[in-house]
Amino acid sequence: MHLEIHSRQDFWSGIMFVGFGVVFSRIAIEYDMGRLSAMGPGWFPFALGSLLTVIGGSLVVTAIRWNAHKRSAASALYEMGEDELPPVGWRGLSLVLTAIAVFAAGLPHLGVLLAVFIMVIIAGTASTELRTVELLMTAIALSALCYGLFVRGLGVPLPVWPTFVIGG
Amino acid sequence: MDLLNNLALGLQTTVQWHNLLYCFVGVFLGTAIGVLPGLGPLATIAMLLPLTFQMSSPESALIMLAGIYYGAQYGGSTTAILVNLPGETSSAVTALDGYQMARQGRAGVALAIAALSSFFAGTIATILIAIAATPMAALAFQFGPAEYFSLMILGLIAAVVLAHGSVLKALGMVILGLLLGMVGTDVNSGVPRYSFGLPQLVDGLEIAAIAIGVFGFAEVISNLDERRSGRPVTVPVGRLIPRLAELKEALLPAIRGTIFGSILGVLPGGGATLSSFTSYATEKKLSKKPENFGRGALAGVAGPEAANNAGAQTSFIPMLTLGLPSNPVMALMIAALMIHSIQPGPQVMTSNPVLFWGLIASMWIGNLMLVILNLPLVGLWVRMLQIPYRILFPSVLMFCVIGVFSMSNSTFDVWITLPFAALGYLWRRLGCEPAPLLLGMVLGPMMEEYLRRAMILSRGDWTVFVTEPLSCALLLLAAILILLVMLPSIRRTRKDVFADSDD
Repeated sequence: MHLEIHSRQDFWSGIMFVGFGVVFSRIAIEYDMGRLSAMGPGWFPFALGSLLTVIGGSLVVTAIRWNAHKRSAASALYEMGEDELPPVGWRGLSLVLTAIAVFAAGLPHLGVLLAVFIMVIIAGTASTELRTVELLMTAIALSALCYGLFVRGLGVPLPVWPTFVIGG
Repeated sequence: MDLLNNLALGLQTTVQWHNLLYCFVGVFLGTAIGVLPGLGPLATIAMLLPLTFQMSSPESALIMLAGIYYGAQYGGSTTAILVNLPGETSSAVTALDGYQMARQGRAGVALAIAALSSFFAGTIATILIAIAATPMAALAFQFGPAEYFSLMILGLIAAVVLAHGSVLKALGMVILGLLLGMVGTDVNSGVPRYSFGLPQLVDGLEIAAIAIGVFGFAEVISNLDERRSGRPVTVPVGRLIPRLAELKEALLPAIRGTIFGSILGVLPGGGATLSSFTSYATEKKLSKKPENFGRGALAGVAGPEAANNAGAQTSFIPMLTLGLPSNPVMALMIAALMIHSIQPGPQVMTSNPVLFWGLIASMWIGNLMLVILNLPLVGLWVRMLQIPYRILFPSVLMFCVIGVFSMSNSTFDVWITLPFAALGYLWRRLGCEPAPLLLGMVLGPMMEEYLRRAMILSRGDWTVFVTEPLSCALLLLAAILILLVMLPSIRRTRKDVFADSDD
């Protein structure tokens, strides 16, 4: 007899919901609960957090089943079915997130021209069909577009030049 | 003849040259970005939303946003017809027969029929909104806090039932959304909740920033996985003007599609998606030659296109009259209104008639512009389609980060998008649809407020929700909906309907 996860998607979704539910309701306990006729700031989030924990828990339970027999052919098929988790594309995920983070961190110091340029270069390397010259041209063009459209055109108050050029 | 006066007021607002210009810019940008494969209306609106923050008048902002919305929807259909790459589920149906028509050299006709059916549906739906708005708002004034709370429960349950995939997961996403809506200062006690000592979180999470993270960035990352490479192969457009026989063939499906769309669009959840599927299924059933469907049947383009446009339009009704979003796009519209310090709800019609009727009239003008604009510009859209993804996605990132920055002119919101981009990607892997989350985020604070008020009025007596007849009826409806999806037969059909859309 062994436990079998027959839907990994449901199982991990359930775990995620339980995690969020526990964290949100745990923090809500610190706030004043009040009472039904005069609810405090903690009441609603605590109720929601608990509900979320229950929902996550039932997802986990429905995703697991006890299997009295050895793996049957049918259950093996099930495991390989549509519910299998697709693999994570770490390359795209990490490069795109890094690119955005570098933009956010760099913008106040580097100015928008450089920040957009660097962001585009980092993100662009995530593409499977990378072409160096073309990427450089894209980065320059997008920096210029950004300056023309957002800074000049729409008047978004973005820092334009690096602080080490114009002085902080 | 209040209705005519109101519509006249609306038209006066819309035909002011600057509003016409905003409407045009909205429709144009919406189509241009909506055409790009992999960017649905929601991502398009989230991306372009910040453009409207700088505008001085809220009606211009809303008129432009509405233009972006139908533009994006129409752009999605163009892509579906020309390259069989539907940007989102509601245009997936259009791809079935539209792309087949295109392969037979009738792409131009398919595009024209799609535009004309949408315009027809848009005209009817605009009139319907104008007629329905006043009584709906009057009804809304009868609502007390208990009724509002029950209505939101019904809305969220409906959104869960209509979402893709597992009901339990969609319910989890709604509640997670409600919880994220709790971030920020509690209006009653002034206590900052879930702000972790960060002053920027005291005002709550910026919904548009979350939307860009979950729908914009996560979309880009997912697309990179799929190794979308090269440029999509496009087919020649061919003759644009439909023949009279073709128009006749399209008329009845368009009328039926409009009816489905107008009714289903009001429902919370996948209104536009559901209505295009319903329309397609009906046309196939009614057709004398059902075997033509999937092989380039004109009715299979006209019906669903009319339905999804009518649905897109009537989904404004609950937003405008009750202040409740029926889909994530409307949630963003509400966010835009709040930026201009307008609290959406039944009072908008009386306190802001210019905004209200101007928006309604602009829907019709916007649809007219779509027809005038899109057919001659088809060549441009085709060229946009040919931009390789490796150039496209850095551009999308640029627009998104600048957009997010300009929401409050700080990089804080850009940082906030990061965890949500990662979460959005994770949710996709886990099969958790994020659309209900966004609805929950907008509704969270409102729900808490109405629950509190209802409980204060009833002195803590829970039974108030079932003893008030209107509230009881709404909750009963919600209960029926839940029971319905539990029934095995419905469960199966529901699975089939959504399975079709994943093709």
